[in-house]
Amino acid sequence: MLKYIGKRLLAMIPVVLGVTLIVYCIMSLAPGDPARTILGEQASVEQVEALREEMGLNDPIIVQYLRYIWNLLHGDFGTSYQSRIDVSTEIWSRFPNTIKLALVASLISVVLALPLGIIAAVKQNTFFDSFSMFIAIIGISCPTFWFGLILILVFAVNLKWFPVSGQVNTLKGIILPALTLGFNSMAAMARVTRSSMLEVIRQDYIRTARAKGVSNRNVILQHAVPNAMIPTVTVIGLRIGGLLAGAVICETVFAWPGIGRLLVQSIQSRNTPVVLGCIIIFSICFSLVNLIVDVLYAFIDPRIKSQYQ
Amino acid sequence: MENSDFRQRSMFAETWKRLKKNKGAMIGLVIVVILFLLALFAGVIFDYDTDVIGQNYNELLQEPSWKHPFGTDEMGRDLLARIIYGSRASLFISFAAVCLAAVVGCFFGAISGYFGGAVDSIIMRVTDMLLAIPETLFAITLVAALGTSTFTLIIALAISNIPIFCRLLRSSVMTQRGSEHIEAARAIGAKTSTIIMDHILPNCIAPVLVQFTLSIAVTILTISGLSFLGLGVAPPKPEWGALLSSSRSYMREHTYLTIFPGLAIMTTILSLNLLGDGLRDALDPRLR
Repeated sequence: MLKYIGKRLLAMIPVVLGVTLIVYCIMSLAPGDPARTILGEQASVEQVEALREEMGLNDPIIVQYLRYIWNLLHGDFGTSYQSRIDVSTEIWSRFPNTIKLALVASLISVVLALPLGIIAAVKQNTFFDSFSMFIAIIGISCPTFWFGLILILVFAVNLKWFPVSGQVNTLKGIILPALTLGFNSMAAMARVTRSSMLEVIRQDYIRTARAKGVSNRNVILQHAVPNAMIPTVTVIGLRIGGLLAGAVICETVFAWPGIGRLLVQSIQSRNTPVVLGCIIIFSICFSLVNLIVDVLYAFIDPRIKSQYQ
Repeated sequence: MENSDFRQRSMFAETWKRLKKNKGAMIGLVIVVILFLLALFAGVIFDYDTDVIGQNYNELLQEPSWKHPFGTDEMGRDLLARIIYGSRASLFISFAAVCLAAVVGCFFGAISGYFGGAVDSIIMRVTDMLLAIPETLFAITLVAALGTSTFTLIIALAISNIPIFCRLLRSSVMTQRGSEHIEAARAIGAKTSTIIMDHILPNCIAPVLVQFTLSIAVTILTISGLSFLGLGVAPPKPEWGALLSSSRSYMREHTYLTIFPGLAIMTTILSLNLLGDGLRDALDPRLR
């Protein structure tokens, strides 16, 4: 098992390198001279040229990229154009907030989606089934930011139950942003759980279990649910990636001080090193989540586990 | 001789017959068609210069009424007109992007699936990398570098959709490649391009069609998200996400400004999803 995880971690390296290369090349297409941006309009041509030389902007792009990667491996994301402080300090001070938001959001979505999907499948073609699937299709069709705005309107502005913008350190403050972020994934998970449960329930071993007199509750919880979990875990993995991207929008709606908002602010102020850093962090998280999901398969499905032993 | 009962119906007619039985899918289809017609004939119903971008200071922030069914915004522009014109941006950009992605993705997917080997490995590693950047983030990156324009948006959204189509077609082609009708085609000396175009692709069209519908839905959501962040379609051009973004300042007193554009997005995505789900069920060979 450890060997497998190690192998997957190694396989992640070229992907992450490729991603950084793609993102680096795209960002270098940005018009405007970084040195000019830093020094301002008043600076002389000589000053700009000196800074360009100092920053290594006159080197070929591949050299610049390799230097960037080399620094990245030492935890150095470069220096922010505006505040002149380390990008890594800026990113790491906000990173926990994004992680907190994403974790609570995934928790909410899993906790709501699994029972919804399982009960909908068990009680197929009842009112509960149609109702929960209606909620689910609304959930996948609803834009994150609009759902967030509606939640703010109803629960923060009118009912005054929760604060309007995210207060990072209170439980009350995280509920609306996390619900907003998790709603979409919740809906997708509930749909997949239902359809995979429906498929599993028709299998012979479920009939066998019923025939030998296992209670309905145990048939569902011990025989059906574990087998129905594989497609669900795939979707959870895929959705957590979407969650990270959704965080960019959700953090903007709720003024949540995470890296998603940092990214949007940096784009608006043309702060390339920060943009680059944020996107690379997001991509690494995404790859890591995919790895965790693959490892989770092995825990859920003994057939997969046996392949790696 | 009367043999109409035995005549094989085309895949298209067969699918249509099954799709017609699915109520959700039919509702979805009807709404999508209506939206298309509205977007197409928006110019007949409203005048772009006076209704959509023309400012009218006598009618600022009016509640919904007979004259303005969805109310007016902070510059006195009719919200209904702006929403209908906004659908043009969303539909055009998403269709252009997904069409481009489908063509390019299917091309590389077919090559990858048919030839296998080193070509396959290279194409798959590139798609792995593209898939490691979530769609919204990739679009944000490209827009951040190149600035906001319709063209940048189309390219960005197309590139992030390519890997999905590429993988989809690769797996269908791989299952087709070994089958007997391909072997037969090769035995009679058909060219590789003929085999791929005439014998393999028509059998792969079903999953591509389903993915196409679902991708359009996701792409419209992404476009509106980007516009909401100020990275998509720029004002005063109307776009659903941008309408929502500018409604935020008036959200407390003028809730209708927030509710209607959101409902427009949701109805569109909902109908596309219903249609996509219906198509998937109708085209699923296991359910035939």
